Amino acid sequence: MQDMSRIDYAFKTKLFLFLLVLAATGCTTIHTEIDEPIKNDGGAFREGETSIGDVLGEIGPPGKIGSLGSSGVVFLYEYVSVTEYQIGASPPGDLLRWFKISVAKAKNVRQVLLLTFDEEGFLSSREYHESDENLGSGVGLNFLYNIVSLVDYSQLESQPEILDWGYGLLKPLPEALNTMNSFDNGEGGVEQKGTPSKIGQRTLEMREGK
Amino acid sequence: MLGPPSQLINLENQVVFYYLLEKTVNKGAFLMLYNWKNKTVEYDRAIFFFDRNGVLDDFAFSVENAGYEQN
Repeated sequence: MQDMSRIDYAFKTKLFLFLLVLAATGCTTIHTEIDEPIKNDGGAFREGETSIGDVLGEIGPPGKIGSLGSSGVVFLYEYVSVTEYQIGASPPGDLLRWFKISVAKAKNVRQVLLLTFDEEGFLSSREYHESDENLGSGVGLNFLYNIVSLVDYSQLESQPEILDWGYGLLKPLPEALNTMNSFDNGEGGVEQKGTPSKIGQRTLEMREGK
Repeated sequence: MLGPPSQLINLENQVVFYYLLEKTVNKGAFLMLYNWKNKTVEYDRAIFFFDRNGVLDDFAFSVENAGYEQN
């Protein structure tokens, strides 16, 4: 009988602690989806046989297109799906209870289809890749009634530069001088979202940050 | 008919007219215990390949995702 009451007490304590944690914490999910999932990985395309017209008819316009000079042209189809999970708790205190401390973790599912075509407009190579990427974690203190991302994945959310319109004319000088080698104008190849700017053709642009 | 393209790309033997429309949809809910926020970025694209003589070679357009109003 005494054992039963001890079990009861332990269960009630755990239940109380569970409800207390539940009441004091909050979970947040932030999901960002860019473009549509790639449904066709191009496995049916044949190198040297499939033309640009065949590809366009099958899977539509690419997300990015770039010239390869006299070697042809490259198409890039890309899908990005970022999910950030947060768990937070409000500290005790009159003022602090309006804030919450949150811990966050983010991951990304990326699909990439890269197709290159020769100068005659026939497929010369195909590469499809799907990956789960860990984007890292973060901790932050923010206002209780607010949903804020705590992991920086802004490099994946950047808007296509062709939508920048006249803003492109106000670029810093190193970027403006590198225009002919840039990935943004379609005449210097293509790059995936989130590629660091400290490597390859962008090095000369001397961009700050990533 | 379509107006100026978003991007004009000069290839070795062709010129590409690339049209792009972006639309972002944000949804979310704040329920204290569970909160969520969804952001979806959709694109409408159209692409036209012209040869050296300005004659259309190939073209394609995406199934419309982003709704837009035409004046």
